[in-house]
Amino acid sequence: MAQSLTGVGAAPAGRRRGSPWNSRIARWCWLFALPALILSTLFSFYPMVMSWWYSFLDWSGFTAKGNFIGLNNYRELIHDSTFWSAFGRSFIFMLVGTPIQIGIALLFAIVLNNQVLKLSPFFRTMIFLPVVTSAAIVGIVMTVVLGSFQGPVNQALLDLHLIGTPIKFLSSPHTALWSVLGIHVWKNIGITMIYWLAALQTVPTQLYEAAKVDGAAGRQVVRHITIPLLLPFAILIVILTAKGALHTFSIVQATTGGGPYFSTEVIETYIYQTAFAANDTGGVPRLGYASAAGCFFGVATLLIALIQAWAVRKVNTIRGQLKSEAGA
Amino acid sequence: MDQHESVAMPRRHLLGLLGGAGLAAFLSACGVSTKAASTGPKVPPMTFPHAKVKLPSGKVTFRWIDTGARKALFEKPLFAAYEKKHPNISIKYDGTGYDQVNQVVPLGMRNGSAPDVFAMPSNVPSVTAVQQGWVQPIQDLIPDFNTWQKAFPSGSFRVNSEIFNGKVYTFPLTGTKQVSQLMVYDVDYLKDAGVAPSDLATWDGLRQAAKKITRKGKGKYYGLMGSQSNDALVQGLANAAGWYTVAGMDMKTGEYNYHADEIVNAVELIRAMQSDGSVFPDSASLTPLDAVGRMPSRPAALICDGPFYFPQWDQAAPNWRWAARQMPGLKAGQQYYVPYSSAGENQIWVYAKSKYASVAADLLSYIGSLEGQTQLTIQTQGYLTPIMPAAIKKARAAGSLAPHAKMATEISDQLCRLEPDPQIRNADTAQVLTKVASVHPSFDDVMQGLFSGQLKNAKAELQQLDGRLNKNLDAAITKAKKSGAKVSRNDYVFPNWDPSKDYTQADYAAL
Repeated sequence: MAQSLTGVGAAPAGRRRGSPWNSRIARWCWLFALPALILSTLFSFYPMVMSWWYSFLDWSGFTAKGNFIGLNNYRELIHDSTFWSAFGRSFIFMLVGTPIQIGIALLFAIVLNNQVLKLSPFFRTMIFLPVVTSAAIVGIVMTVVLGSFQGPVNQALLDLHLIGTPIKFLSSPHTALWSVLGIHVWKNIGITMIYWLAALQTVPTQLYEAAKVDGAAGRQVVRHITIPLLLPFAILIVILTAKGALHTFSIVQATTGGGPYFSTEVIETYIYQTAFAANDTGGVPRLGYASAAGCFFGVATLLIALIQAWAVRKVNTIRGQLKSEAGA
Repeated sequence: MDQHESVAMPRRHLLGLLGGAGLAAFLSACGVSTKAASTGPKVPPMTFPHAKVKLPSGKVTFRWIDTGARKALFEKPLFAAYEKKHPNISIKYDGTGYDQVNQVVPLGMRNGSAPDVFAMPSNVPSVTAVQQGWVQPIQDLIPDFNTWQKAFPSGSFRVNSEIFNGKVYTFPLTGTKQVSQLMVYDVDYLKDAGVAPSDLATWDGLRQAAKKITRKGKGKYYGLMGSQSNDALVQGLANAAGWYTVAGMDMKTGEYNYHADEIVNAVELIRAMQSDGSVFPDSASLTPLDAVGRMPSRPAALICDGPFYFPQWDQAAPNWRWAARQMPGLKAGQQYYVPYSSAGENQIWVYAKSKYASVAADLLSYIGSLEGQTQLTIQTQGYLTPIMPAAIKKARAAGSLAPHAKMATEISDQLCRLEPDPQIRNADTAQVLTKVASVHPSFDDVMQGLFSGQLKNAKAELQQLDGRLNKNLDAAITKAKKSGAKVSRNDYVFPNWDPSKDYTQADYAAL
């Protein structure tokens, strides 16, 4: 049997060379992937499948079994105005928050990617710190920071004579959602910046040098080199950031709890309230109904993932065409 | 060592020192003391009597979870005394609130690791817990049970609440003869503004007092502390004006009555006070717990609250001078009554699969004795009301009540009257509780909407709320009937209820 340089034996006669089922290396790969697969099955796939089953039940979650009621939960959901309001608010959160977060993070990344800037590691750390801070702590601190009674933000705005009376950032239905959105963007901008930094570091420095030699200025470099090369990454980053915005829960729960009067209620807090929380009128939770809401929302998120897959494929096709044209 | 390294070492060292100092400051701020409040009488240490059951001899870790707060004032020294008596038994106590109980207990039930003794999660009807096999009867555990049970007042054990299938599963740790809505006021702020406590006797007086205090405060403090929904304040004001219900239901008619004029007028009063600028500006972003937690820093002079956090206030701000009085009514000197249940509260349950049921029996046997109930009163300095009236008499005689607890107890004695209980009339109504779904928007939500300006017409919104609640209850009764319960809406109707008198067995018999 011929031995390859790596010591891996050639495939025996009658079997396809490189078949994953035969390769010893592939078997080790599967073995190492097994714990992750088991954990994913237990904590992701199984709950996903079971939540679909629960969505067909009238079930509080406390009894051993629920009553099968078919599509009744979905029928009720369609007429539930609170659900649709929360659904809409989640998409507002995503559609407004995502471009802001991506845009500002990109600016930070471009500035902090500059090797000449000595304090760049310090600024990167400071911008990333909110990402690793507990959302509950951030929420509580922000209720004080944005408070209308001696809150630092209001104090600064009053001292600068930009406002005459304090703004009720988190307690007014007109400003609460945007304030929570602002906190969410501030808290997560660090991670988006890291994605951009990683993407920027794939751009070959020779291209920048060549552009410099050709006399290109900063903005021209960004427009003609940086952005086109970042485009494939941009799509991924947009999708990841949008997903994060769609699934926001802890910041909303910690700052406003979905109030005042549902004005900051997003789909995740709606599901939580329905599935687990007790309210002042008593009553048992509705895990089945909450599961239906979750599954319905999951379908909406799935659509976004499909759009991502289509967009990535499209960009790769365009890149391939551009490369072959450049080669010709 | 090169130049870069010599700079890096001191910087790392400095950062480490700063981080350590910060961590130390944070940890010390997080510490919660369950020492008795410094304003009350000195609390004597507890000793635990000899065990009346055979206890395990090996090393034992016994787990107990409940909502803490005032109960922790009693349970921590109790468990310390118990561990001293039985050095092989270590009690792991978690008293952090319903959020924790609501998560830990159901999860523990599903994976077989529930605590040995626990408070029932607030969204789990006890009937469900028994039906699902979560708990075991204490009747089979506590020695000389019949004699032990006789010490409790009548009405403490109800079918489908404490008694299931003919066996006793739990008992109430504390009584419910306690007013949940008191008008708490800052003595010094009132004095500085020239407001006498008697000025708070009426709604108009409250509004004027809040204005005066706010004017005097000049932005440093305000008249009234509110919260997101102000639900306790609204209900307290309405009750003092003559709104008598049990959890929003008018027990004379069996219909929800949140749309009563007293509630609507109370909402209008608070809205007027908001327009006056007398309400703490951040109130709308505070949960009731946040609002209570802020009071020791004195951002407002008045708050509506029960005695639930009085011990924490006394600990957090021992120099803060405050007092409590009954809620303002429509007229000065207006007598009102606060319905309360004979059932007691803070029931504790023994896990069905607990390996240390004998330890549970020993502890519960003591807690449910006159001695245990008296110690409950003494250790909490009267902030918790025992289920046995004799216990509070003993504690009072021993001079063991904190001044603020005494204040709250005296007001409660004056105002509280026993309410009619559908479960005493018909034990099957407990089955209805397992079928009632949460209503959204709830009373709390509607109040938030009214005070944030998103909902305009209080009467109309509250009428819709009552419609939802009544419909929800009817649906739950129908489902309960299908499951075999013999219930009807009539079980919730008590036409002979007089809120000014205790509802007694004779009244049930007269129905």
